[in-house]
Amino acid sequence: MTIDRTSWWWRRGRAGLVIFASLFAAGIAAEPLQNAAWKEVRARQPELKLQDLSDNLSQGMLLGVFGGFRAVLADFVWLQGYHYWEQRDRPDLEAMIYLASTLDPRLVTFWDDGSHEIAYDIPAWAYRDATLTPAQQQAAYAQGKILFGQRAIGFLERGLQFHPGNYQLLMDEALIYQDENGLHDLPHAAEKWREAATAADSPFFAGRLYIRLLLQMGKKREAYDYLHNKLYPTLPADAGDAQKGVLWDWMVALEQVLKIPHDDRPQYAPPPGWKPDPDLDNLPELSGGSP
Amino acid sequence: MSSSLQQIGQIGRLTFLEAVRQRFFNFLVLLALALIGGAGFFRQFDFGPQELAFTANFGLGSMVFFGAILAVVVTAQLFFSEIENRTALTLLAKPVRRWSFIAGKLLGVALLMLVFVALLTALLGGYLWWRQGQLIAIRHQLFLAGRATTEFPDYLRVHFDGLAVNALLQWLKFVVLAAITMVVASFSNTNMYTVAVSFFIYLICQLQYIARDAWANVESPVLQNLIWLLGVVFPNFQLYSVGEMLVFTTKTPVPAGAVLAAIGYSVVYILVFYALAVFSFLSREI
Repeated sequence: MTIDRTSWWWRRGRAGLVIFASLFAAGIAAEPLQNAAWKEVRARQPELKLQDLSDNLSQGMLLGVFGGFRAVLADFVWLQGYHYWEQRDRPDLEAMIYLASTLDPRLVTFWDDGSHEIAYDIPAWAYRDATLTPAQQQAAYAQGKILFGQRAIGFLERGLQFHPGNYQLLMDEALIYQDENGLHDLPHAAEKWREAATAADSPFFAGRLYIRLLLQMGKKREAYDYLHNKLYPTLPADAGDAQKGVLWDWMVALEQVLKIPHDDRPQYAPPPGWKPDPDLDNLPELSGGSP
Repeated sequence: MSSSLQQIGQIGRLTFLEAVRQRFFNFLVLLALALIGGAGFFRQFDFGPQELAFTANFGLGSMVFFGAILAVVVTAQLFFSEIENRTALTLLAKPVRRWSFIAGKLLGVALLMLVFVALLTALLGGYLWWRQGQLIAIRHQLFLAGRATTEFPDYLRVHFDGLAVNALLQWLKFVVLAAITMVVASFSNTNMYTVAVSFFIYLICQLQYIARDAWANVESPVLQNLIWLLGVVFPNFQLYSVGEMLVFTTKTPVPAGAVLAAIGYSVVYILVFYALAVFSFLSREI
């Protein structure tokens, strides 16, 4: 059998084979380069589970997500969420919040704002429900604060998997746990304030709020130990918002209330320019509870 | 050799000039610029300090989206305009070799994509620089007034050097895509076919990483080999999805070695696709 080397099949087949073989050889040759770059890029891309998305995204959008437009699509989904928020459309708003944070979990805003919308905004919509009487609105609100508070906590826990030790998300959790109209789970709130206070780049007030909560819970000794062992010695003297003078007042007051022996008191000096606050107006929690 | 380089330079220059005169190019550039310029619209949603990340995502996404369309459509249009207008015949009748013709065309498209990427990056960078300045000043005022706990966080600041590196990587990706389109154009008969097939290949290149990830978990040896082959034959375009990682602080920044590897990877594929386009074009009847 002779081969017609001028035929279309021969020419195209040969060209196709050469192209395939060349690309194969190039792929093998470039493999070390690809592995060196891909290993680093892949490690920085958050995991994406198809089942998390397939219910909410069309096939075209799925293609966009996997095709490298994840961040942009997440932004659009988030903006769509604003529309539902304006319409007070709870199911769709929640779906958009979860979807945007799944698509691009790197943006802390999605977790931070999303948790606020779930924990605070959605329950408050009960008061806008004209089909309910004021008493029913109040009941729906109280019920919603518990239900959506729990959901927001679950949502933030997921966010913390992507942003471990993020003080903003930890403070969000603490506030939701502490909410008097909602979960009002003070032990958990205290735990989150403590974590937030020790997190990287945490604002100084997180530590103060942790101490106040401990005092509110009546845990004066724990508050004192944390204050003089952990918080006060780590605060810089030159940062005004660290409020070392205020903390010194608290420490002195707690030493008196707890009757701490003089020898057990910290040996460091008060902050420069400190003047005693005789009334301790800034710490009403000190008046209640037990040691 | 120097005359060949001159020819390539001349064809490249003419290709570039022809491309920038095209309405399609101008339309896409204007659209992309408008989208990035209009990113200020998002300020009304109050994203707080993360507004910059949101705007940057939007701008980088516009660049990737419109850049890919431009790289494919313009390459195909420029190639087929030479064939359909018969100017390729006149050109190749002169002592212009086919490899010079392809190299010149690719150079012209590469220059065009460079202008596109530079324009969009400059606008995005300018906007981010201006807005970052504003946000830092606002945050500083709030901090002084005791209404913010910290100054503007460092991790939310834009890395303009990272933006430039991202622009380089995106440009290389577009040149690889243009070279792929050139290979398809070199053997296909119509502009439409070239555009459709090139986009299909682009899609495979963008998605082949899923196959690479799944490869280890596939039980069937036949399917496993097929997936492996797919991963080897098509370049991995997900390597270039590093915009957000380069522009903002991450816990572990992308090492320079990885960027250099991606650049080397792009150069290899540009050369390979160029060689394949030449090989295919040599046997083409014009």
